[in-house]
Amino acid sequence: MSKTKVSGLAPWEEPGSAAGRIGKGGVLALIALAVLLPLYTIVLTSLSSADTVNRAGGLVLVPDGITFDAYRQIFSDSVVSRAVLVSTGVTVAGTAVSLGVSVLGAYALSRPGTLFHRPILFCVLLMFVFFPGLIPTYLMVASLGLKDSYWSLILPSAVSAFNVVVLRAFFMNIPRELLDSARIDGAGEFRILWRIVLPLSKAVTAVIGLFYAVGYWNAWFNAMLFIDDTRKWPLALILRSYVVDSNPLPTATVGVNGFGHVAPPTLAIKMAIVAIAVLPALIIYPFVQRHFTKGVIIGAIKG
Amino acid sequence: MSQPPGGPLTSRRGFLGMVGAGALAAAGLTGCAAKKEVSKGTAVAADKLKGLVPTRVPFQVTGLTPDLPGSEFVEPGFLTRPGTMVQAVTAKPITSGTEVKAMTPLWGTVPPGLGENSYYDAVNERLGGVVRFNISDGNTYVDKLNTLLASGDVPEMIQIPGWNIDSIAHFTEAANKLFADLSPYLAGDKAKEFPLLANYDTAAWTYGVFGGVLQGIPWQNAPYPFATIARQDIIDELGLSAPKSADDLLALGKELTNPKKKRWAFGGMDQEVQRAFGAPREWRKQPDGTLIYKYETPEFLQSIELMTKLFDAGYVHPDVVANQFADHKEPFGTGQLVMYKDGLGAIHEILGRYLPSTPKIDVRAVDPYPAHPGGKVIVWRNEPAGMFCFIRKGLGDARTRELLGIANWCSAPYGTQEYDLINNGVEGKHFTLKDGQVQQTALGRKEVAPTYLFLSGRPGAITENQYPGYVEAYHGWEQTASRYLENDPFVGVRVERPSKMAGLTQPTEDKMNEIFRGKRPVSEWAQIVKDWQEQGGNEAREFYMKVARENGRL
Repeated sequence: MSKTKVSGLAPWEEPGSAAGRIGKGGVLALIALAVLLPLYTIVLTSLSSADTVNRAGGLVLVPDGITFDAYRQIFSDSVVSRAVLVSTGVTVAGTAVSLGVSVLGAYALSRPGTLFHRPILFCVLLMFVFFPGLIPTYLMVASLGLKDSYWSLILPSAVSAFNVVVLRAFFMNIPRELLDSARIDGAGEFRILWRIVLPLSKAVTAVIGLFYAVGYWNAWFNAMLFIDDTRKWPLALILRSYVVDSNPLPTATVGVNGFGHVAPPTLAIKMAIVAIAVLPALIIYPFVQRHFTKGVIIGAIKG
Repeated sequence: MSQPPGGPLTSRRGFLGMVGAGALAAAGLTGCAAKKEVSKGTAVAADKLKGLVPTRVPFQVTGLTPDLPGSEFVEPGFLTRPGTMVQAVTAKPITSGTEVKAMTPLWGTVPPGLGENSYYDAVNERLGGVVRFNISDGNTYVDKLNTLLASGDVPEMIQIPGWNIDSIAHFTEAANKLFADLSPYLAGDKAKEFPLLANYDTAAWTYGVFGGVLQGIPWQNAPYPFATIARQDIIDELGLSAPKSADDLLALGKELTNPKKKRWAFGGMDQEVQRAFGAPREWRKQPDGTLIYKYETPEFLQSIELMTKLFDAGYVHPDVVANQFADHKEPFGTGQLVMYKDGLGAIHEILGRYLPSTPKIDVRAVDPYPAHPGGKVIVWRNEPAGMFCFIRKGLGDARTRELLGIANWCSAPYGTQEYDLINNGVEGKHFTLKDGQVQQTALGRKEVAPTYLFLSGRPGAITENQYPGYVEAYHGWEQTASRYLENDPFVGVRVERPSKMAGLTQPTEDKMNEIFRGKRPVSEWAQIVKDWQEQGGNEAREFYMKVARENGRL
C-alpha cells in the first residue's frame, strides 16, 4: 500500500522539489542581476576616478576608491544646475496639470450621461489611432504665443489618451451604489470625486502620475523645438549634448591642454549624468511600487 | 505601458515620417499635390549662373602672405599667427538698432545665453547691435529645420547644412517661398558693397542657387571630403606602417586588432574603401555615352566584399559594429580605434581634445591609396559649398542689406580682427597668447561657441598652427591629393539632386551596412541595386544624362 501525504494545500501551492526551487531561484537571480548590474556599474563608474576607469578599460565593476568629482564638476556648471531646476519645475507643474486634467476627464467619461460624453470619448479613443501632427502642433504652440515659454513643454503633451482610458476604466470599476449613496447624502460631483473616487483610486493615480512625471523628466524633443532660449532648456536636452554628443562640460578643467582645449567628458562624468537622469524615477518608484501592479492590471483588463 | 507625455510628438521616428509633407506645406502645395509634384531636381551650368552670383574680387589682408601657398585644390597654410590683426570692416553693420534673430547649429557645449555671455556682448558691440541666437544641437538640427520650414516660421538668418538639405524633401520649393533672393544685392559687381562676400570662390556661390534663385550664402568647403585618419603613434609603436593599398587593410587589421587590449583597427571606412577601389563619388561616364551610378560599378561591389571581410574578421570597433553612426572620435582619441574615415578638419579637433590626456598622440591623414599595389589612385572632389546661410524673405530692402552686412562682417578671413574676435573672443578675457599661440581661458571655453561663424562662410585656409607640424602635414596631403582628382562628369554644374533619388540613398546604404555586419549575404547586393534602379535610380539616371547632354558632358 502506498501512503499518500496530504498537505492540505492545493497542488499549485505545494512547494516544488529542491532542484526546482534552486532552478527558479537561479533564474530569478539572473533576471535580478540583469537589471541591477547595469545600474551598479553606472553608479560605480560615476563615483570612480579617471584612473580607475582607465584601468578598468571602461565601465567599472570592482570599486577602487570613491570620488564625487564627476558630480561636483557637473553641478559647478550653472547651465546644468539651472537645467535641473527647469526640469524639476516642469516635471512638478506638468505632472500636476496632466493628472488634474486626466482625472477630471476620466471621471467625466466614466459617468454615463455627461455632456458630449460620446463625442469626447470618441475623440480620446481616436488619439490612439491618429496623432494630430507635428506641424499643426508647432503652429498651434506658436499661434498661442507659447514659444520660449515653459508652458510649451507642458501643454502640448499634457494629456495622454492612454492614461485617460486607464483612469476611466478604474473609475468605472468603483461600485455605482457607493457614488449614488453619496449623491443621496447631498454630495456634488466634485465632492464625490475628491472624497470618494480619488481616495479609492490612489493606486492608479500614483501609477499614472509616475508615468507622467518620468515622461516630463525625460522629454527633450519639445524643448528642442519650442525653446530658443538656452537658459530655459531642461536637463534632458542639456545632458543629451554631453552623453550622446560627447561635448566637453563648460566647467571642465581637467585635461586642459597647452592650447586651451578641453577633453570631452570622461566616462565617469557621462555615467554621473546618466545617474542624475534616472535618479528621480529611482527615488519615486519605491513609493509607487506597491500600487504599480494593481494600477496597471486594472487598466489592462477593463477596457 | 504608458506613452510619454506628448506620445508620438516625442518620437523621432514618427516625426521623420511626416516631414516630407511638412516641407511641402511651406511651399504652398496641397497634400494631393504632394504625390504628384515631387522635386525632379534641377541643374544649371555654373557659367550660366554667373549672372546671379557675385563677381569674385579677392580680398587681400594687408601684410599677410601664406607661408605655404594655396592653389585651386590646395588651401594656403599659415605657420604662425600674425602679429597684428587687420580691421577688415570699419563701419558697424547693424545700423537700425533692431535685434537680429538667427538660428545656427551647434556641435559643442551650449554657451550661456545673451545677457550672461561677455563673448556675445563683445561681438554685438562691434556689430553695432544685438544678434540673438537660437542654437540647436547639430545632430538633431534637421528635425527642427523640418518643422520651421513647414510652418514658415523661420528667423531672419538661418544656417542650413547641405547634408540636411539633402534629407529635406522639397527643400527648393520651401526655400524659394521663405528665403530672400540675394541677386539684387550681390549679382556681379553689386557685391562690391560687400567685399568680404565677393571674396568667396564663384563655384561656392553657384551652390547657393536654389531653383534658379541665389538664396544661400555659402560656407566654402575644403577641396576634399575626407581621408583615412590614422593614429600614427600606435601604428609606429607596433612597428607597422600606414596602408599603401586597400589590400594592406586586412593585414593591418590583423596586426592592430587586439580585443584584450581594447584595440580595434578600424571604424567606419566604407567610403574610403569605395574610393580606393576606384568607385566614382556619384556618376561615371561610360564609353557608350551612358552614366553609371557608384552602386552599379564592380568597384563598389569589391569595396563591399572587402568591408565585409574586415567586419567578419572582427577588425572593426564593436561600437561601430553595433551602430554605424557611433561616435568615432572618442574611441579613436583613447586609442581603442586606430583608423577611420573623416574630414581632415577632424585632425585638429582630435588633437585639441586628446593631447592633454595623451601627449604622444600623433594623428595623420593617410595619403590616398589604391585598391591594389601599383593601382590607379583617385580622390573624390568635395562639393564647393557644404552649408548655407539664408535670409528671410520680405524683410525689406534696408533690413536685407543690413543682414548681408552682418554676413559680410562675419566672413572676414584669417588675419583680421573680425575673424579673431569671432573665433577666439577678446584677448585677455577669452584667450591669452603664449609663445604667440592662442590659449583659451576658462571663460573663453565657457562662452565662445561657433555661432557668428555660421552667419556666413569664408575661403578655406589651414591655420591651426598651434599644433606643431599640423599645417605642413595638412598642406602636404592636399598637394598629394590634388594629383589624383577624380574626373567627375558634373564638375561645374550646379545639380540639385532629385528628391526621389535623395530618398533612396539611406535605405540602400542601410542595406549595405547590413551586408557588412553579416545580416545579409554579399550576393544580395545585386538585388539591392536592382531595387534602387527600379525605385528611382533609373529615373535619376535619365535626369542626370539629360543634364550631362545639355552641358556637353556626354
